[in-house]
Amino acid sequence: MLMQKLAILADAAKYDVSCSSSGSERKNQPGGVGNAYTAGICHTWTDDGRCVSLLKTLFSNECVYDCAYCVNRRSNDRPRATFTPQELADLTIHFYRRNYIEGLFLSSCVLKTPDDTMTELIRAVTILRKDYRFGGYIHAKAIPGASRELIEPLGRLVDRMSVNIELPTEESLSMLAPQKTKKSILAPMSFISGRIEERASEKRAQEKRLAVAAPAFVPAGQTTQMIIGATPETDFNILRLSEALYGRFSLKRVYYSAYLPVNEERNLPAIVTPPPLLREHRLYQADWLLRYYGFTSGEILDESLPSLDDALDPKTAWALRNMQFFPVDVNSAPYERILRVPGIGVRSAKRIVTARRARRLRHEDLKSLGVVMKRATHFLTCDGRAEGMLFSLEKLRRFLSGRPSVQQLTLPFDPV
Amino acid sequence: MIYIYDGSWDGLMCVVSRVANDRKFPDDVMRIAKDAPILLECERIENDSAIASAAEKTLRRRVPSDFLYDVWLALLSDASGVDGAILRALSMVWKKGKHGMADLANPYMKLLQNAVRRTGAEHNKFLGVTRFCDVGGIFYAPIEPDCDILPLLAGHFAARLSDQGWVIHDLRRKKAAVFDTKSWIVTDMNLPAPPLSTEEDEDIQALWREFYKSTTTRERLNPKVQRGNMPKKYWKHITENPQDFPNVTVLSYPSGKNE
Repeated sequence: MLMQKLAILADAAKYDVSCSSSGSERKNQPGGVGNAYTAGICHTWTDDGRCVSLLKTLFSNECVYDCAYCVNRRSNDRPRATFTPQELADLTIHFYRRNYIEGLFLSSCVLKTPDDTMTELIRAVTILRKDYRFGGYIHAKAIPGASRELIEPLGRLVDRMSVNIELPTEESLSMLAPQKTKKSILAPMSFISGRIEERASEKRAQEKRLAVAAPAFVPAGQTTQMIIGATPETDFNILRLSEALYGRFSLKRVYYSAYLPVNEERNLPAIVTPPPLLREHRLYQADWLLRYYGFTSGEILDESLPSLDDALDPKTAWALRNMQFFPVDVNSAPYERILRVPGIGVRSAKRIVTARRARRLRHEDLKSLGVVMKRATHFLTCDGRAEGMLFSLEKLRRFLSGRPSVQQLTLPFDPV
Repeated sequence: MIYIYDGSWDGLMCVVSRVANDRKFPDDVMRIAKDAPILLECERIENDSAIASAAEKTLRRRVPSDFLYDVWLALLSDASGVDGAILRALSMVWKKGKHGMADLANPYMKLLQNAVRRTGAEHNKFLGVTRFCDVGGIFYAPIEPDCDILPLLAGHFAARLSDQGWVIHDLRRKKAAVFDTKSWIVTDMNLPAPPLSTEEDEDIQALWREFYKSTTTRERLNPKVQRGNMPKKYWKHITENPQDFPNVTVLSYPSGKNE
């Protein structure tokens, strides 16, 4: 019985891509079990290559909503199940004690009303935190439309919260998820970010001994997820939205989920359409540029160039459009400029900045620092010396996009 | 001249002391367990805790402790050729301090840093893939890591699974970390047969396998990325069953990354 519930509800939850367990420093309590590990830990990888860090499951898939893109919508004929809070808490503890998981990722379909659903989630998490003194990681969904009075207590118990934005525009949302509105999604998101900010200033006051200790609120921050390819928004629309979400609500992550058709629906891609995995991958790369590389969405794309290049990663594509920025000299350029060289990631850039304090770096030193020179070599110099082959821009573009791995894909686009 | 030592921290300190006194590097440094070359002149450096602690004390006067921690991680890596590189890198940092530590392009530093990364990567991997089963009041986890990571894992699990007794058994080195809910020790261990899990534990293992299967998206099978993250050598002791898909067309893009 429990086995069946788990099979149904874990299967129903797998469309949520987030599984990270990072960002929390929760400590083990005396007599309790578990703690958080700030960097997060992956415990296993499924056959689709995704990391499993948390017991990711729905509390219930008995949904009253009828969203067109969702496999769990009311009008679908599917096996349905609902955990009891106690069952779910016990399962989490059993798995945790055997080191299968870092903790729990708890989401749910809308069981009767958003507030009823939230109440059940709070019950399950309360058993874990209070009865079992569980100190492991908990990520909970705030159900769109739930009231603040319920988001607040849940936020005090969990490490991370997320509200899925689902679709990039109000029009798409009203077409495909008629019971959800932009407001029902953004209101809890803005409430959570407001409380996180309040909590941060309380903490600052506390450090100055101006206030007493306040309880933590969502210490690992909030995230969201968007479905890619179900509706006609461009990559530029999507990146601009992500940038705004990072800026306005200080989100930790925006996840992108290539739309996998699960329902036959007039407004949606046919059920045989493969998920746009390459597009999803390029969006993640561009998202990384926003968060770690100091790029703005306007540098990566614009109205006249609204889609990411299939054949080139977004950083290389940017570099080829901005050759006046190069070459960058590894011995004299600041970190931020080195970070913009295609093929140099955050780790390599940091190593370069460290190692050049000890000696002038030559091309062969870069290799031993672990810099991937295939792309980088065309965009950098060492004390003015260039080693890249002197290509015309067009040749360089072709050279850098001619990756053999592109040929192996079975995705619906032409390899360049 | 080749020095032979036991691969321990104290052993290394004795080698350091010897090199410092002689003001001369050996041609290489090797460990007892590995095949010692017969043709070359070897000398066994014996462990002496008084010499070791004196050498460590001297080192700590000039070598930053985060570098000594890296040296310890490099020792645990069991990587071949690492011992000689450790000695040269230590001597460089002794002479040049922070400036020497920054010289990541130096070949000895590179070898040492690679060894540190090797230990660190495997340590991280085993924080995730170590699997305990309840063998009757005690939780038992067999592992076969390439690096000697038991002391690193023991600290992590003592803080986390602090209210249950557990044993992490390194089958390859025939050693185990044992925790009694108060403190842990590393001790020799050689069991005639693996201990049996309880019936309740078998049920929970079955639930976990069901979860593992259910959480896979069949439309996105990607054994290449799966294996890149979790090579087959780790499959032996995990509870879940990754599948072998001989005929899957491999997509060469990762799915949503987690950090």
